[in-house]
Amino acid sequence: MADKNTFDAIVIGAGMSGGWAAKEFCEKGLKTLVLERGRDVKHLKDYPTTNMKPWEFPHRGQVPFDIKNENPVVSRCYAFREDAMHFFVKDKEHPYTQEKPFDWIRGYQVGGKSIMWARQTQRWSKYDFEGPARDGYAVDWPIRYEDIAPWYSHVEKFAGISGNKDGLDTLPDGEFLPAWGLSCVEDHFKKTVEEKYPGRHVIYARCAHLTEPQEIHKQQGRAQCQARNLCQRGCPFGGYYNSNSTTIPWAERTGNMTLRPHSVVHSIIYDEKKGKATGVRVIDANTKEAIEYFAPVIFVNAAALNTILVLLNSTSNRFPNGLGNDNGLLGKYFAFHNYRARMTAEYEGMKEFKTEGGRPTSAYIPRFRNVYKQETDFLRGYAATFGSGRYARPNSNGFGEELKANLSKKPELGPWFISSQMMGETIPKETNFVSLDKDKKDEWGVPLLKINVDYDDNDEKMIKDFFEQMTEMCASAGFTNIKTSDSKQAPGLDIHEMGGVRMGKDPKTSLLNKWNQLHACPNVFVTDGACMTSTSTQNPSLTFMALTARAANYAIEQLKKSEL
Amino acid sequence: MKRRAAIRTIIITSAGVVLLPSCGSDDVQKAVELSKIKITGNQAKLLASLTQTIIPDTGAQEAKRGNPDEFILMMVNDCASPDDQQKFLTGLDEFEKMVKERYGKSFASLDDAQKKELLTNLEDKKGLPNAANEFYSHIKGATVQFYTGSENYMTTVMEYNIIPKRYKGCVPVAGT
Repeated sequence: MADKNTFDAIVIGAGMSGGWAAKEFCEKGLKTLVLERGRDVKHLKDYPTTNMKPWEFPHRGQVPFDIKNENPVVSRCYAFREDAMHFFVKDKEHPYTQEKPFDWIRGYQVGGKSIMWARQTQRWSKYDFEGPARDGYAVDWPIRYEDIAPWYSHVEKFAGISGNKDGLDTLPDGEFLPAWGLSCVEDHFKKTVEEKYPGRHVIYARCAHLTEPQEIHKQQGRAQCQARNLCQRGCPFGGYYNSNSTTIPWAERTGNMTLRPHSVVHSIIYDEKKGKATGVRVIDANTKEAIEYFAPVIFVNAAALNTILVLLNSTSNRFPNGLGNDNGLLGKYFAFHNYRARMTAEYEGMKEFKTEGGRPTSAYIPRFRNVYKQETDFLRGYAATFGSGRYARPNSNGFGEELKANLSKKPELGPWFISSQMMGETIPKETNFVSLDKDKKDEWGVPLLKINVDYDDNDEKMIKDFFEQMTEMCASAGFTNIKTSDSKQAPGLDIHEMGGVRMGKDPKTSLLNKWNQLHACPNVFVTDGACMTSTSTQNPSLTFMALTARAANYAIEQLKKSEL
Repeated sequence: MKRRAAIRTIIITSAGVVLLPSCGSDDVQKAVELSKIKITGNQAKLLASLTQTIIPDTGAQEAKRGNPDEFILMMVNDCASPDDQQKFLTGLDEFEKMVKERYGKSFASLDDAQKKELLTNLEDKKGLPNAANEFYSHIKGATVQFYTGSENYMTTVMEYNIIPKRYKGCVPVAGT
């Protein structure tokens, strides 16, 4: 029995980062067990809505009232619509405890949230990794940009990233496929900002789309992105990166992967005599049967909050407070991105032009606040999305034959509409933490997660600054009807959960070392969002993927040297 | 009034909502059975007649699109909150009451000139109770949503293409 359940490596989670661990291990010949708590989602086969036209959705995209009413948290997510709601976890099916409001958006399936992600892939810069040390918050990152740069390249080449080489030290260039480019109004804004605000930039946002597939992408069976912008449904062309189209089938083809869906990981097994982790306890999601699997190396990629949950629930005499948790910091210094602030505007100029086709990305304003030195009354700063387009306005005047005639004319385009959203760095704090609910368990016998996370004064100041700066920059570009709004949304809806098992140099103040190994249990690696020491402003998935590939290759070397 | 015959029964199956013709399609007094709201024959008749007046049918070309009144009923049943469902039902009754007070008969029985007069006033928000204006504007919005969301509209007027293949950030607007 033990043999059948013994592997060279176990990966917990088949999503954005787990897919990369699976790929790296299987490619290098390791017999790898990939555990996924949800169902399997096969590329192409399991994208039921992918080719549906808007008029084919019974509710024209709207989510029925009963579903919204039963699932208020996930219903607040922008992508939880009739076309993709089957990829999101329903609140009702997987409850958690909110000590403070937290919108936990989850995707329990092979592919995880990589199916529905926004596909933004900006690299971190040296200023991001040096942040905590310079500004005295969290702890110093145990790595610098140079440590991760080759792994960014590794991931970018395989995943396929569209972008321009912008030559910015704040947002390093990568391995790019061609860019779709900016609209005329975005280009006008870029020129205005760069001229009037030295050091500020507006660029084409790098994104995980195959604008010009290379040999490696053809080997994956993926084809050119068709700019459909319906990515959240899964793509019939494999035009964007998700684990389902890319890393998971790649791992599968080696013959080294055993993928086990419907596998809820209860905890990691720690052997006190051996002084290391030996495997994992799994509860079959359907049969509730408990099964143990064994391997010399375990990667935890369950998506930040569930990764913390698994570790907190992995108790032993040696680790009564959770695996590797000697310092009591497991689950603490949890952070996210502040997505509350938005801005919209209009532009009456350039009415002789419009955009054509589709573009599954936008423009992007890299962080310009406090980059080189502290210059505001808040720490760190924000990046921002920046998009523009012109919308058709059907003429719905009148009724009867007159209305029909009005509607039958091609609608006129409105003025250029501009929108921007802040992506603010939040400061990890001990008071933002998650823990196990002592009273409640789920139907698989795993304690519920209790979330205690909130904004702080730094976040409020940043929102104010975003409003002021964006309003000023937009006004100077001649935009009108500039409106700012604070959604007051709860943390979590940014879907950028980070920290709780942070990396660091010192075992007294961090959980993971520079190779993402638990200081106190080095054959367990954490390489998803939970490992993040600080959050910076970039969409984090690219960094999770690069850290995973880096750590997996390190683990393979260590296994060869029998060091694990 | 072909539309009048179009009262349908909406039934819920395991596969979702489907529309089936009811057996007695001329029996307008028969209530439309929806899973969450109950519509009387008269309410259904009013909705069919009002949406028809807002955007008249032109025959076969659009027949396969279904009817705006069915679409509205399904959306109210499936997507509206209980409060909004109640508001919708009350809206139908009050609208009919207003019509009867003014014309002495139901909306569906009005002749074309009377309908035109009433809708002109509703469009101009002139001389009618505010509730009637709001109800009309809600029904008109939903009727236009149905029409502009149809395959016919999206493919012929809007040139919808699920595979745009390209993005061009700055192209001249035709005719300028």
